[in-house]
Formats: sequence, C-alpha cells, structure tokens
Amino acid sequence: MATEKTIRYIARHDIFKRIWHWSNIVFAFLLLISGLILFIDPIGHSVPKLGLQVAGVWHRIFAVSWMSVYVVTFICRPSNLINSFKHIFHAWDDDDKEFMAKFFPYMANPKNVHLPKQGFTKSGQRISDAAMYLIIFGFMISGILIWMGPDAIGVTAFSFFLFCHDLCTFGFSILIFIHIYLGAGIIPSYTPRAAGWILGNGYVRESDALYHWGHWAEDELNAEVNVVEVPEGSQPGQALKIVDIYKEGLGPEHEESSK
Amino acid sequence: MQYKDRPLKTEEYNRHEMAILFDASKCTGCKGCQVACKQWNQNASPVFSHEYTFTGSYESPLQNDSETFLHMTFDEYDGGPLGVEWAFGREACHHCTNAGCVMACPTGACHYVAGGFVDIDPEVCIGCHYCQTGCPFDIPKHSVRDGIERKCWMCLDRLEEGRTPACVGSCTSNALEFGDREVMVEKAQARVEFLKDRFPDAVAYGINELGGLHVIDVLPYGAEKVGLPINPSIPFWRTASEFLRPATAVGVVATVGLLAAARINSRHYFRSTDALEYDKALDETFLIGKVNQDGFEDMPTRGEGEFVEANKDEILEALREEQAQAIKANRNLASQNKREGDK
Amino acid sequence: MSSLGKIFGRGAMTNHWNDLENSDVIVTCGVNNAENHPLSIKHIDMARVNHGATYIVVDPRFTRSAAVADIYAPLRSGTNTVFFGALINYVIQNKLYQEDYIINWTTAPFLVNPDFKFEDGLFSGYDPENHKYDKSTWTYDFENEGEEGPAALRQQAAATGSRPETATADLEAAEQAAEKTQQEVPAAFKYTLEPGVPEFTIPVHKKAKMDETLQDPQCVFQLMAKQYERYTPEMVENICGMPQEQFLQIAEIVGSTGAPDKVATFLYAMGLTQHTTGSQMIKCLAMLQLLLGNIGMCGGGVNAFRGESNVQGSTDFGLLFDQLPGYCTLPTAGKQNTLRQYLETTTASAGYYTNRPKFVISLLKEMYGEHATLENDFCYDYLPKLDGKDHSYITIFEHLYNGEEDIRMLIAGGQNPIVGLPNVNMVNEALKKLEMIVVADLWETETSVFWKRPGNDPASIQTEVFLLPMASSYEKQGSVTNSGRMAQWRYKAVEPLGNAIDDVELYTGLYEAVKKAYEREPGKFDDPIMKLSWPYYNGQGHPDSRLVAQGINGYTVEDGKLLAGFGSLKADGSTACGCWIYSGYYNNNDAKDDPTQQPTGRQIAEDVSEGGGQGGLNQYVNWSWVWPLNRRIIYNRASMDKHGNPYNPKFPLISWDKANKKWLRNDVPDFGFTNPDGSHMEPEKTVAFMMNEENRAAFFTAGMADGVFPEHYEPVESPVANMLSSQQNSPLTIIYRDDQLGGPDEYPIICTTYRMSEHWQAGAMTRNLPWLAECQPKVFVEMSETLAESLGISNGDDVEVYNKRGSIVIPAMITKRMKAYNLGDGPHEVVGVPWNWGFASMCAQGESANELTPTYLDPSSKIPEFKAFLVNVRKAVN
Repeated sequence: MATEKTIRYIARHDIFKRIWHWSNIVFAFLLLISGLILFIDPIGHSVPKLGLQVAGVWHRIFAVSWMSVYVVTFICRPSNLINSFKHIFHAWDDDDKEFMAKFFPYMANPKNVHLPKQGFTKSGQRISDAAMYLIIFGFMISGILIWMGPDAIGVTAFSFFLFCHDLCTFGFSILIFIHIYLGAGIIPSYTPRAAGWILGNGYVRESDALYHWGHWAEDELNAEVNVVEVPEGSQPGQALKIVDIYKEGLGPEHEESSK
Repeated sequence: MQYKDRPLKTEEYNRHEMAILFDASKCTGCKGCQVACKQWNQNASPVFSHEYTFTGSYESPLQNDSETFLHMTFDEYDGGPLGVEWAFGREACHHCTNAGCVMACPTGACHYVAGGFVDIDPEVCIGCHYCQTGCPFDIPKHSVRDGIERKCWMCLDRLEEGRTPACVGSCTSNALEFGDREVMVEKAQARVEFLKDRFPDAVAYGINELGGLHVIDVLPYGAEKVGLPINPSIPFWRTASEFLRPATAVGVVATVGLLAAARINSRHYFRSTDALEYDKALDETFLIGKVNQDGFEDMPTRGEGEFVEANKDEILEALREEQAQAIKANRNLASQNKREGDK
Repeated sequence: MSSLGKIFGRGAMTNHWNDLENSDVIVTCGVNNAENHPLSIKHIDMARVNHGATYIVVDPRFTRSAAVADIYAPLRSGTNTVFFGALINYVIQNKLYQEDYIINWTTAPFLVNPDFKFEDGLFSGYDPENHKYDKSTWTYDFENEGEEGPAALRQQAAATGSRPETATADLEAAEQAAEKTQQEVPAAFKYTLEPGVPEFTIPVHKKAKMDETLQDPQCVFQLMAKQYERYTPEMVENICGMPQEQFLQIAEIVGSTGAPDKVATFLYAMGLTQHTTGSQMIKCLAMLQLLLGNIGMCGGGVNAFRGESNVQGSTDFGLLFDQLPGYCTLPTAGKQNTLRQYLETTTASAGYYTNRPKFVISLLKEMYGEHATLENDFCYDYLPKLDGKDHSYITIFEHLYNGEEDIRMLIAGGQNPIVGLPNVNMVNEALKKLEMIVVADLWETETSVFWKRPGNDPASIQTEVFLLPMASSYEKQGSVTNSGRMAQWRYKAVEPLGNAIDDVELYTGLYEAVKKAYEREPGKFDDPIMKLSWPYYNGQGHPDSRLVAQGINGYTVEDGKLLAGFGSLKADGSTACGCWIYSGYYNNNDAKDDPTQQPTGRQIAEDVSEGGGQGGLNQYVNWSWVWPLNRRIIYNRASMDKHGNPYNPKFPLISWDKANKKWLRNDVPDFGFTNPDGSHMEPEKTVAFMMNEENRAAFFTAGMADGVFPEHYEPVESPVANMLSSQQNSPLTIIYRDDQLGGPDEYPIICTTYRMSEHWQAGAMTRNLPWLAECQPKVFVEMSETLAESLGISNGDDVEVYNKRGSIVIPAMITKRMKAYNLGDGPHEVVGVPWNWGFASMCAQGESANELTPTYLDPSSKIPEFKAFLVNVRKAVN
C-alpha cells in the first residue's frame, strides 16, 4: 500500500504574534520613510513644507497605531511578550555559547560550519531580540517625549530624547538588514521558507524546526499538543492557539548535545 | 529648494560680514530696543493685567519666546567701581558662524544669509524644534500659533533697504551699532582696552566663539555675570545626533556590504526540505537527507546532483540498535560504579 | 523754574540737548535722565567719547543713570542744598571760582543792606506768628537810596491800605522829580514818549554800591561765603549720607571747572523741583554754576529737563494760575487795579524788562482785537485779577476737599489727578464733591472712571463724568516746545480716530458754547468772553493752529504783517502778539500757510554759524527755532570776558573781532549787539544778564519766598533733626492736612517716589499698550537687603507700605542698589515706589504710590513734596 507522505508541523507563532509582527513590518517601514525625511538632510531640504508637514502628521498617526497594536496584542496574549522577554534573559548554556561563537563563521561559510541545537529562541536571536526591543521601545518612549516637545519637557531633555530617537534610527537601520537577511531567509541556509513561519500560518515544518531549534522541536514533538500532521502538499491552517506546555515557557532543561 | 547663502539685495551685505556691536557699558537698560523689536516684527505681548506677574527685578519679560526675540537682562552684584555692579545683558540670537541651529535644521529653513546672519524661513520651517537643540543660548522659540520656530532675524527686510536692525535704530545711548564685522570687532576690542582700568573683567564676547558671532557684546563685568556661557559650544546631544547621520550611512553601507559578501559567498548552498525527522520513541533526530563524510547534512551546490533520500526504516533500525547498545553499556558502567562505590 | 527766573532772569534750561556734548563735567543731581530722558545719554556719551568728559550721578538711589556713570554718590532725598552748598563752600574756600566772571557778570560785588542778617536758619524780617517774611531788609545798599519813585510810593501806600490817590508831600515831591527826569528819559524808555502809549511813571533805577575786590563783609560774595561756611564735607556725610571722600572727589572735579576753559553742566528735573525746598535747591545749584563761570558757556548751564514733551510750552504760555503768556504776571487786585499801576509795578528800571509794557499791551491787543484801545486801557479790566491767595493745583483740591470754595466742575485735559497728585485718597474724596468732571484724554484714565476706584461706592457718588476723546500728537498740528526751549512744528500724520478732536477744536468749541450761552442769557460781567478776539478760523469754519501761530508770533495790526521778533513790539496798540517770547518763531510773511518755511519748521541739520563764526559747536542754529530769538545758549555774553574774548578758546561761541569791529557769532547773541546805525556794539557796552534789573546774574534774590540764599531745611517729614540750624523746616512751607503728618517714631523709613523708563507719568498710555506694559507690568517697592532681612521679606513678597495718608500692598523688589543712608546718627533705611500705576487701564493695573505722598508745597513754586516723606513697611497679611 502506498502510504501518503505526511509532514508534521509544529505551531510556533500564534495569530497575535503574527499580527504583531506584520504590524511591525508595515509600520516600521512607514515610520522609517516618514522619519528619514527629517533624518537625511538632503531629503529634508528638498521636500516642500507641505510634504514635510504631512509626513510629520502621518508619522505620528503611524506611531500611535503601531503602539496600539502592541497594547492590544499584549492584552490579548500577554504571554507572548512576557515569554519573549524571559527568553532574552534566560541564562546561556554551552549550546548557546557554542552557537554564538560559530554563528559569524557560519554566515560566511555555511557548508563547513555546523551549529549546535538550540532552544525556542537561539542565543544569537536573543541578542538580536534584545536589541530590537531596545530600539523599538526606545523609539516609542523617545518618540512620545519628543512629541511632547521642549516646552513640556525642557530643551535639554528634548535634545537627549531626540538623540535617543536618532540612535534608534541608527541601530534600526543596521539591524533591519540583518533581521531581514536572516529572518526572511535571504541567507541561503535559512531557505526562503523561513519567511513563512511568522509571516504565514505560524507553523514550522518538523525538519526546519529540528534544524533550527532542535531542543524545542524535540520537546514539542514529544508533547504533541502543538503538532499537526498533514498530507504533504496541504497546509496546516493558521496557528491560532499554542498550548503552552511549559510552565515557565522555556521548556524543560536541555541536556548536553552530547546526548 | 536650496536656501543656503541666499544673497540680499543690499550688495554690501553680500560682500562683507556684518555684525551688531552691543556695548553694555553704555547701555542704560531702557528697553527701547526690546520694544522696537516687538513693533517692527509686530510680535504680540500679553494684553490683560492679570496675565502678568511681578518679575522680581527690572527685567521684563524674563524669557524670550516666540513673540519676544529680544529682551534685556538685569543682574546685580556687590562691588565694582560704582559700588554696585548692575550688569545689563542682551538676550537675543547671536547669529553664529558655526550655528548649531543651522546644523540641526532638517528642512533647510534655518539657514545662513549673506552678511553672516542666521534666518529661519517661515515658509519652510515646520516647527520641529530641532534648532532648539542646537543652540547653546536657547534662542529659537516655538510658536504654537504659527507652528514654526522664531527668533531674531536681524531685520533682514530693513537691511535690504539699507537700514539698520530696528533695535540698533532705536538705541538712545550709543550702545548699539551695526556695521562691518571686522570694524565692530576692532571697536569692541578698543572699548575693552579702555574699560579695563575700571572694569578688569571687561570682555568682548563673540569674536571667536562658535566660529565668530555676528553680535559682538562688550561686557564690562564679564560674560558670566550676564549669564552667557564661556566658550559656548553646540550642545552635546545635538553634536551626537549629527554624528549619527553619517554613522548610520556608514553602518548601513557596511552592513549591506558584509551581508552581500556573505550572501555571495554562500550562494551555492541551500538546505533541502524535510531533511530531518524526529523519532519520539527513540528520542532521536535523524537525517534522512544526504550525509557527508562528517555525518552532517550535505548541502550540495545548486543544480549539481540530487539528493538521495535515505531509507528511513534502515536508519531507524540502526538507531535503535545503537541505543540498545548504549543502554547496555550504561548499565555495565553503572553497576561498575556501584561496586566501586561500595568500597 | 521760578528760581532760575530770579537768579538769571528767565526760568528755563539755559543750554540745550546737543550742547551737552560740549561739556567737560556732567553732573546728574535731581534727575534720572537715563531712564526718563533717554536721549540725554546719547549726548553725554558723545561728550565722553569726544573729549573725555566725566559723568557724575548723585542720587538717592542707584538708578540706570548711575549704572553708566563714572562716579555715583548717594544723597538722601531732600538734602540737595547741603550738597550744593558744600560745593559752593569748597569752591570759595579753595578759590576755584572764576573771579573775572563773577566780578563782571554777577552781583557778587554788590553791597547789601546793612540791616540784612541771617541767623540760625532764619533771615532778617521773619514774623513767626504769621509765618511770613518782611523783606524790607532784603535789598542792596543803594547809592541813590531814599529816592523812591512815585510808582513805588503809590505801591507802598496801596500795601498799607491807604488810598492811592491821596497826595502826600512825599508823593508830590516825587512827582515833581519824576517830571524833571521825564525830560531826560533814559534811552530804554524813549518809547514811552510816543503817541498811543499809555501813561505811566518810569521807575527810578537804584544803583547798588559795589566792591569789586569782593572783600567787603557786606558784599554779596562775602555774605554768600559766610552762608555756606557751615556746609562742610563732614556735614555732607552726616546729613546727606554721602561719604566725605566721595564728596571731595566730586568737589575736586566740579571745582576744576572754575577754570575759564573748563565747563560743567548740571542736569536736574523732578529730583530738585518736587521738594518743599525745591526752588531753593535749584537756586543753590545756579549759584554754584555762576561761581564757576559755567553759565552762558558751551557745555555749561543749569539744565532743567522738563517732564513732558510740551510742558515748557505750557509754562511759556502762562498755564500756571498766576501767569500770563510770556511769563508776565496776572494782575493782583488792590495793587494793580489799573493798567497804569500794573505797568509801574512790573516794568523794570533797567534790563530788558524795561520793555514790559510792549509785551503786555501787544498781548491785550491780540486777546481783544479791535476792542482794545488806548481809551479803555486796552481792555485791561477784562483780565482776571488775583486775590493774593494761592490757587495752584493742589490748593484747589485742598479747598475742594474741605468744601471751602464753590468749585463745581473740573476739566482735566491730559491730566490724571487721582493718580498724579499727592495724597490721592484725599483727591478721591475731593472728586466726589464735584458736580461734573470732564476728562479730555486719549485714554480712559483713572480720573475718568474714578467711581470705580476700589473702595468707592458708585451709588453714593453724584458726579457726572464726561470723557472726551482727544487726538494724539500725530493726529494734530502745532508746535511743541522741549526743555531746550525749542518750539518744533509737528505735522498731522493721520486723522484722529472716531470722534477724537484736537485741543484747538476743543477749546474753540468751549469758547463758542460759552459765548452762545451768554448770548442767550447775559452774565454779570461777560465782556471778557464776548469781546474776545478769535481770528483763528480757516475757511472751513475750523480753528487752525497755523493761524494761532501767527497770532503768537505777532503782527502789525493794520496790515497783518508778521513781525520779525519781539524787538518790533510796540506799546501803542499798533502791534499784537500772543506771547512775546515766541515772537519770531512763525515770521515768514511769504509762506504763512506753510510751517516748513517758518523758523519753527526748519529742518536744516548742518551745524553752521549764525554769522561770522566757524560753526561746528553743536549749536545747530538752523534746526527749528528756540526762544528767545533763536538764542541757543542764553546768557551767552558771559562766555566771554569784558572785552569779548571767549573764556574757552576751544569753544568760541561768540567773539569780538577787534580788527573788523564785528561780533563773530556761532549763536544768536543774548545781548543787544547792534547800535541804532547798524554797526556792532563794542563789548564793553554790552550786558550779560539783561533780563534782570541789575543787568547781572543775581546771587542775592529777594524775590524768593523763603530766603535770599538757599538754606538747608529738612523735609517736613524727616527722620532726623536739622544739623545746620535749629530751624527744622522752611518756615514758609505750605502744609495741608497736617493731621496726616507722620513722625519718625511711627514711620521710620524714608520713602521716595519716581518714574521709570518703561512708563509715562500717570501711566495711561504705557499701561494701555501691551508692548510697553510688558516692559514693567507690576508696581513694586524697592528696598535694601538689610531692610528686607529685618522685616523677614523675600524678593517678590507682598508688603504693605503705609503712613497716615494711605496704605498700599505691593510686591517688594529687594535690591543691592538701595542701601540705608549712613547719617550722623546712624543708618536710616529708604524705600522707593514708582508712581506710574493706577487702578484702571487694560494691561498693567497697580496701586498708586501717591496714596502715600503729602500735600506740603514749596512756597515759591507750589510744587508738592513727592520725593521725601516717611512711611513704614511690613510684610502683608493675606
């Protein structure tokens, strides 16, 4: 009997996380465009006043909308953000350290550099996430304060927070390229499929999960609650709810990769 | 729209740098200049008595704002050749050569004008406040009503007609003069020399500060006593912000470059789909794709060859065998240790 | 002003604004010119830049004038006579006076009546019961003593109450003697012989004995020296609070200007006038300047800075209650019932006022036109007569308050008594008694809404108030006379807003209305109104300032031709002239309608000479016109020695060219310099102070009410006893409301009031214009750090400043610029309150400092004591 090949999928990102990430993309882009007008002098000098004013208004609308998404998704599923933070602050085990040490050589030479198994969030990813959160919340807080203006907070404070906003722009401009390069799978070893995980239905193929986040994938496959098995070719649907099998959200302690 | 170095109709100002000379040793603090500035610019003052509060001294108003480009300051100290040092100061835009506000302005509204002055063009200004972060003297002020930043603009319209700024024209005590900057500097230095006998702290402020100011202040009691910063520089956070712009450009270019290099370098490598699988019973992940000599998934050059899918069952069987062996080995090891531990 | 008139002959700033640039030493004492006359500083700065002049400020407070001075010295308010007297003493003791000058041009060598005395603060002839002086000993020692002219005898008879027609033996003899002298009429009086001139007896000129060595103990110079012997540097320190070293430093600098080629100018304003001893302070200053030979010189003078742009104009035209235009006096009933009596008692026996009849009769001719004839004494009977009592501004309010006189209506034209008068709580009560108030002003002043004053109950006030909107200075045409006696024509730039009219319209309108009322119902004696000549209407039935100007300038009656100057005035009714000192200011017959072609409207800015001089002495003789006769520096004969050589060769204002027998003139000479045949008069025949009967500047002035020489008396409310005599206050000070007099036990703090740069007088203009109000929106009291500490006050705290006359709660401005005076008996604190605030106005309301000021008046000028009185201060309770 010819068995239909089935593919197992693990739910990784719920609907709120995906909405949140999509809004990050859309709003970050719009905010960047409307913000860079003032950041890049030649552009600002060339755009007429009305254009600049419109950009300024829209920048604020986008900013408020973006922040609202954070607030709303947080209310709907607080564990997403909380767990994200917990992942960032979790201590690094030997796998994490080895991963980080090999990561840059891996980017240059993926054929010959092999990386150890990782948990739900890779160590390098944790650093990137931390930086990204700093930048995003940095943008938000400094943005609110500079929107209040020097009349409300004083010129020195305004200058400082404007600098913070500029610093976030600097950081974001660099980080976003790395983020897209890795996250959208421009890096060939990540495959373009990577983009579909958070931008798509929230499910990761078993093979990809085992490749990237070996420890997490094995735990999830063992637990089975977040796993679906579908015939090859069809999609698993949307990852609406992820049953959180971990008390702390971090999964059971990993054993050494030598296991 | 480029506004840099827009020339003025008055040719003289296009050829020379001009400046105001304010000699505080001749100033009587009459505020005629303050009022002339208001009148010429048609700026507003509060209208009703209840809108005002007692300022505590002869200084009024206490601050510049979007409707007050210039106000005189009054500071008192004991001592000096007259028994009391009543230091009059003039708080208004100094029209710096290296103006932090011009540096900061993202729209080009705040720009240099011929003669060396700094003007904020209301047709271009969007009121973003950036110029305020660049000024060591806290001069540009935001007009809520107009949504722009405003400050002394050296009465450019009067200059165009060959007149002096309104303040200079109104001065009753010969404290204000307007002319060629070099001449004003010379006069200032000569006046300081003259004053030094009675006023040892006398300085001419604005000769070299920030590349040279276009308002030269002769201050008999020194700069600090009228609240002016010694060796003013553009505020740190503004300089830092300005630095970030080229830094971002460099950073982005470098990042994109490095990533491009990495991408190019790894262009031949990709991972195949579904190369790995996990067996729950065995608690083992195994590769069902091609394996290279080190036992790792082989990532062939694109187009070259094909994957040979390994026999999954065979692999699982091998794994089970391996595990069973390991378990046996562990049991032996454990009983060995136990025996040793009994000793 | 009144004192300058007595000592020099004219009551006006002797030099002018531009001339300040010529000074070597500029002393501000009694004015805050940087704040209140800002442009003066421009000229002072030029003097310092161009020839290193020294600028000295002496003031009770460290003002903005002090801030730019070379030297600042404190001086307790009200003690200026001590300071000036001490300078006089210093100058005399150190022989720094300009001897040639005072011997030739002043009464220094004149001998004084041997019965004249001064002792312990009082002059001879004091009647303590009636607080009056019998001035009969205040005379010179005359060569021709005893030869009383008939006029004088008639006057004496009138004074003692006997009928003037009574022929006494003395009178008969005098008349016979006079008839003899009529045949040898002095040249100055030849005009009285012409037909049409009313008959009057020429006064006999009494010549004083002289000692030109200045040694005689009874000569004016020695009496003056004796008077100020007590005024030592130590006294200055103990009384004024000015440290001796500072005084001596100033004295040395000022004293150096006694040299012929060095000159000092003194600047003053309300700081001298607004005291009960103000007239004498000014006179003391004038005496000092005469001793130093600084009068009539470029860069010298006694320079009164008038307080308003046209107040000089208003006094020139006789605004004061006892004046006629041109500083002629209104007649007094009893003494001057007839024109003859008036002429005999006001015509001088020598000097330029021998021409008095020409001025008065020409004035009457202008006022009454064709009605004024020789037969009816030129309508002299229509002039109101004084009753010998005081009817000045504050006295009127005092009477109104007491209900002593039947005053029913007040017309306040550009005046705000409920803010600007002293003791405004009293003024408030007084205003309530009026049936009607008419305020003619640009603004809704406090007086125009006085019923809204905090504390007033409008329902209980019956006064009907009208506010007439008036045109501002840019909305009307006419001349304005500044401190420098310059009558500059101003043009109408814009039409007045709404119904606002100019003053000529208002007073013409009033005249017409009163005339109509009398036509309907004749009055008891309405001729003075009905017979008034009013030829000022232009073709459209409106009064025109240019026509008024022509009337002021003077013209020949027959053909209306404008006169060149007052030299052309006649006493026979053939000339008319509204104000003789202005004659010549609007005299161009070819352009009667065009002020730009008249002297008053000239705007030629070149600093040229008047005739033969080299120009360039900052006189600007062709810019507008000054009275008298465009003489920029009056008494300028005294800038030269007897032979016409300038004392200061660097500034040869006028000089005698011996070779060509001509006067080289950079200014119009203030002396008769031409002979009848047109040739120039020799210097030895010319006179420097021709407006005085002595033809000299008079140190010894009997015309002052309370003393021949200024003597220091304490202000009425003073914290200390007079250290120079036992006469605490000037005996003739007019004191009203003595029940509100406060002593130092209850009110130990000296208070002074003043103006600020940022505000204008009673504040109606500056407190209604946001740009100006913003410069100083709130009233305050300035006090020293020591006083603040002792009262537990921080800067900005509300404090109550109070005395028996009123109480105001205002914020405190604690400042290093105010310091207690270190007087002989210890430190005495002082506070200062600017008086520019009132309860009305849009932008800057505030308490009025004049709630605290007293109604004590200078006996000569009737100006009140705004500058030195007592208060107490405490932290305000909320």
